[in-house]
Amino acid sequence: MLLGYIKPAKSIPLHPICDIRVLDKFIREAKDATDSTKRCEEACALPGNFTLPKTNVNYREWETKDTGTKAEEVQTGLKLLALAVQKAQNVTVNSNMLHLIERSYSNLRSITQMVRSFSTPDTLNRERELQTTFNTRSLRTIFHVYLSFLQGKVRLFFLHTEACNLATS
Amino acid sequence: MIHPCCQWKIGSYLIVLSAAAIFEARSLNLEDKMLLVTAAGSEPLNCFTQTLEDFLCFWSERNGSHTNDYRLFYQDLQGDDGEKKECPLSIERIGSNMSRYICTFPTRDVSLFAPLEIEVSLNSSVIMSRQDIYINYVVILDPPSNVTVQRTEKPNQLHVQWSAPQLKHLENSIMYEVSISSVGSSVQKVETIKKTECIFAKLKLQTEYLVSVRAKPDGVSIDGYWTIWSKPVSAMTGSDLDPLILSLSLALIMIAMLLFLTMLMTRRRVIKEKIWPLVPSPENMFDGLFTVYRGNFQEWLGRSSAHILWNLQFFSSEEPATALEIMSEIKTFPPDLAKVKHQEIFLDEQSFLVSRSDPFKLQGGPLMDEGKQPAGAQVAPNNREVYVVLNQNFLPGGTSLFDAHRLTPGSNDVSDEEMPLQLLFESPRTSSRWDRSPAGEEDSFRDASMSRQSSVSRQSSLSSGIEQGSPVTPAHFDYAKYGPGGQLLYLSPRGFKLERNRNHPYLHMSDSGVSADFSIMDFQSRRNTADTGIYTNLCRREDLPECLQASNSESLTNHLRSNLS
Repeated sequence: MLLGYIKPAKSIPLHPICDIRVLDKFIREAKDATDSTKRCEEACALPGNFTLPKTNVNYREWETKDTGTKAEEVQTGLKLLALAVQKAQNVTVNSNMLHLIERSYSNLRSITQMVRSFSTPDTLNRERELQTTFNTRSLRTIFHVYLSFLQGKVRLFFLHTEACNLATS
Repeated sequence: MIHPCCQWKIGSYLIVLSAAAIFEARSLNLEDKMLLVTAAGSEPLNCFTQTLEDFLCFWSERNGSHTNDYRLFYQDLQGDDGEKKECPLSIERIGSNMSRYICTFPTRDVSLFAPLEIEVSLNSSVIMSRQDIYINYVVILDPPSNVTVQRTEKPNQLHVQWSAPQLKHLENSIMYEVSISSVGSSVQKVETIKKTECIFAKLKLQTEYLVSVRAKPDGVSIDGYWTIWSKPVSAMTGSDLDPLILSLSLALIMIAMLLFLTMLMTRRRVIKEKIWPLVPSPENMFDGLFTVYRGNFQEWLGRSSAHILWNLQFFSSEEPATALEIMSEIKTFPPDLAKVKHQEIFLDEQSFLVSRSDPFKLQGGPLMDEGKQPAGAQVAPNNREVYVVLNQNFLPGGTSLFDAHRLTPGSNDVSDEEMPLQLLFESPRTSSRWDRSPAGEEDSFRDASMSRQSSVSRQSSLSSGIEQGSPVTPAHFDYAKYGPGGQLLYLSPRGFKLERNRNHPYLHMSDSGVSADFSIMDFQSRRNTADTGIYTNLCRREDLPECLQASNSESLTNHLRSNLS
């Protein structure tokens, strides 16, 4: 009798990692960070080189890639970004910038976790070529890349991964 | 045969025209977008993408001489080689003195989510440049298509639906704006949503609304400009009357009308009587007037028992009138009398003895001239009727009535009151004088008349008194019936008081002014005196000796029947 009152729940519950709205929230925060670094010149100059992933996406090329390649690109890029942000965090003295950097770093780690949850394990260890990276010395560039990477590759990867199709809103 | 040169020209013109037509259709949309971008941007050099797979930059300027010297270079900073690439320019004329330079990027070089750098150089000097252009930020889409507006269950709501513009991979990154306005008014209601449908509520009833939709990237991963408004779609809101309620109320009204009509039909008679009442009939107030007497009011007054009510003015000291019924029409005078003048007297066959100039008169009829005694008057053999004279003016000159009623047996005396009837009956004495023989009738007649002159005068005086209308009331009535030969045939069984104590056999009848109907029976010719064969019920009275000798008596016969009231 009790079971009769219980509605059968969905077989696959709504996974919070696959919710695109979470990614959108991260993207918005990255956008805020990018906007705040638009006018900084001197404060955004960082010592040393930072390796960042390339964020350019060509629809035609993107469609030809398979999911594994996509996942690998996303994960590699996220890793690079995390390293760069972390490095910038260590170097940055400005408190405002530091706040942004810290938040970006935490978001990156969350996104990395999300991507790892629906990625095949064999792509994790593959290192991509350096062609997909470039170097910069500006914090603004780091934020731009971070934003663009999230908006582009990560989002496209999120939207068209089979595991995350249910979460698309 | 056309010249080959001309053929080639014509062909080229045709190709160009058709290409231009196609291009014209496509460019109309592009033109709108270029205008939009130009209007929204502040840079001379504007770039946009329509589907995230194309990218074009353009600028416009006045016609100049450097048309072919412009060059556009772009560079993807994250590109593989990072070198500048040149984009081929196309020129199109807008207006009379303006030209537009358009650069359409090759598809493989369209890199989203990465900054671009664009330069326009003229003669190796950069005149225009754009830095950090993200293609995903300059998206201008096509307007939404297939806009449909429908009514919902509620009459004041409209449901709008449309199709999203074509965009690969990022359809859910588009937001929309829906505008609804009633026809003729400038008030607009705009809603921004991300779905491709929307419901407008609390609209005015029975009004026409125009709906338009436009789109724009939501700005999360792609951004751009608002599209142009879609073509307005009009729709009418519903009315307040729920069709179900309307139909039910109509059915209720129909049922009520049917009931009313049915009641009206069944009570038709009652309603008709109330609206158009019947004229009341006087039948029940007049008993028998219309059934028995066929509406004859005078008859009804005379016969009906209720006539007392109507005749109250006559209800005085007078006695009620007696009606006299004549049994038969008088056709002939009594033979003793008629012998003299019956021919003159009885020419008419009226119920009353009326002749033109005869002395016999009934109720004011012309006096019969008793003096006229036609000689040899004979009683018609077929005249058998008895007559009654009610008029006292009957003079005794030739009247044998005196004699006739003197023939009445046993009635010697007569009271004065009964004088009027004295004419009617003969005294028995008179009858004795009568000679039944046919030959001697006339003589006896004369004798009787002569002997009665004195009484006649007395009677006439009485009769005159009677004629004045003094009513006399008989206590009872009796009659005697005599045959034509004068024999007593019948006496009324009633007490004949007149006979006992009267000198003259008189029967008195009152004269109240009412015409008395009486019937006169036939009587035979007096020739046959002893013959009483035709008579029945001869002389019922036992106390009268004359009855026993009825066959021997000679008298006129009078039969009188009356109804005493």
